[in-house]
Amino acid sequence: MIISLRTITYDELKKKLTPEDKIVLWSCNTCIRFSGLGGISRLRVLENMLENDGYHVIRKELLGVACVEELVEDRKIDEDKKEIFKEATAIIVLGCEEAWERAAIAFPDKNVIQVTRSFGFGNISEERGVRLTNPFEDTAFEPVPGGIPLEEVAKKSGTFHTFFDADLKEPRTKTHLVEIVVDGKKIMAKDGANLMEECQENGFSIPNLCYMKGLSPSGACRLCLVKIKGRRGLVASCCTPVEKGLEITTEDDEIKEYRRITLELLLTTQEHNCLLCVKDENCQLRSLIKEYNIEGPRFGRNIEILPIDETSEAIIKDPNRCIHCGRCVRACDEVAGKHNLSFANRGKKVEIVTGLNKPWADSDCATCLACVYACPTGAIFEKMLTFDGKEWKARKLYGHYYCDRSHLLRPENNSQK
Amino acid sequence: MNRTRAVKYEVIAGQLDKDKDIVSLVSCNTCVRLGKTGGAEKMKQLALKLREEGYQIRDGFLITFPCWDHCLENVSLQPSVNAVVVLGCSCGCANIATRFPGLKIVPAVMDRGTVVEDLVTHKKAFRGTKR
Repeated sequence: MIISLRTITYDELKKKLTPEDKIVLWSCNTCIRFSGLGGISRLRVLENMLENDGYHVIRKELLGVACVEELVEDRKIDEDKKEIFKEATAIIVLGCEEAWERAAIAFPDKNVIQVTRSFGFGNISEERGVRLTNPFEDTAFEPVPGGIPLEEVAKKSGTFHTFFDADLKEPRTKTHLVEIVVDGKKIMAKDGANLMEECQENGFSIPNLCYMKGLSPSGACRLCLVKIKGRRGLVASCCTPVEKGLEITTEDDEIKEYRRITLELLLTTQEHNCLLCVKDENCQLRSLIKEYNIEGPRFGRNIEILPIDETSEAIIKDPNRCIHCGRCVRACDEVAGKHNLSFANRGKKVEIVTGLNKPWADSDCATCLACVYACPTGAIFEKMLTFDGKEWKARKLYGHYYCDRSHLLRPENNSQK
Repeated sequence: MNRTRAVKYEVIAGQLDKDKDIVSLVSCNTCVRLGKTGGAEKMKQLALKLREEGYQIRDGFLITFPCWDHCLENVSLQPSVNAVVVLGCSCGCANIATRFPGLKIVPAVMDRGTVVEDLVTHKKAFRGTKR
């Protein structure tokens, strides 16, 4: 992975902007995320900081791999994005230097702001944190066995290994807050924000499968249903904006029973055999099944075993574990910008297909792994294989998959080690 | 992304001992595969060629990110293995060397580095690493 550190302070960043700017915050979702300077959480922090200071952020754009020219150039022609980029006057790039260059070349008429410097390549581990192991020739660093911690690189190079919020003397509070009541407790939530996110940020747990931070909500899984006083029926909290005075019940016996039935129905629709699944303990469906104490499906099953697509060099699709949450489809649309995944067929025959229902390898996939990170079950996962024997025969590796542990590798968990 | 170039076969083979070395191969399945210097197919070609010439090739591992420790946890080398041929960039090799100290690490791929492009002339160059 490429090791990049922040070169400018928050005040210096603001000097590069004008109050009239229409700003796009642009972040890579790979290396820079693990250097602690990118990813959806950092985009949100920076958006909040800039909005507090009166700047106008018109979009947060997360890219699977921002140094891949094709993924960057696609943004200019994407039907869902091109108007936003036409309107934008400034783009702040949370990515390596190469990512900044790609954006600057793609949008020569915009003020494309570089905030990092790349120092070379490095490793990441839960134990040792992020380390620079192979510095670029044009840096003052030398390769050291075991690598150099980011703090040391920052200290010697006059850069920062922390994000912009570390520059603030006191943490910023959110703007446009309104009071709502959740399970009888008054909380302050951002007006118009996603109700489920606001509840979760205030410590109320709402189960979900189709929702993912950084992707648009779809309300497909029906697990985040809540009751809102004065509204008919149950509403999907992931698709409901916060309004002043809302009174919400996140769980009671009726909601619990709805969620339980929904989970049981999910279990009946496909072959969810955890013993043969790479996702193992990290499956979100399995966690919820455990949480709701479901021992097995009550309803009859009529499962047709579907073929596994192993044609891609990097990704395996097992439709037998798919719960049709649509996260991969939205990740491919919104993060990869490829629109390569979609739903096909109706009713029981619904499935996720690549391209125009082609094998994965023949589709337009850029193998950025955005769908892999998005999948909550073992339906889409990266290809990790072991080979042996005379014929060099491949077998699937059952072990640690990237998507399983990425949350543990967040920089706030490891960069101080 | 780290662009790479393949090391010549003779250089790789020259670092291995047919009688003493029992070899595993590890390939990156991200940057190096995209650079067409690694991945499942390239690893198979190299493994079978080395075997054909009498080297003791035990097994191979295709890993998404060898530069990330938890991916390397999937590489369970047999106790008899004393050399690893790595189809991975410098930081992959560095990580494997840290994880498996004492083993002979033979890089099958060299860094070219990231691509630097002049914003005016669009002339491209590689920004290489110290290795």
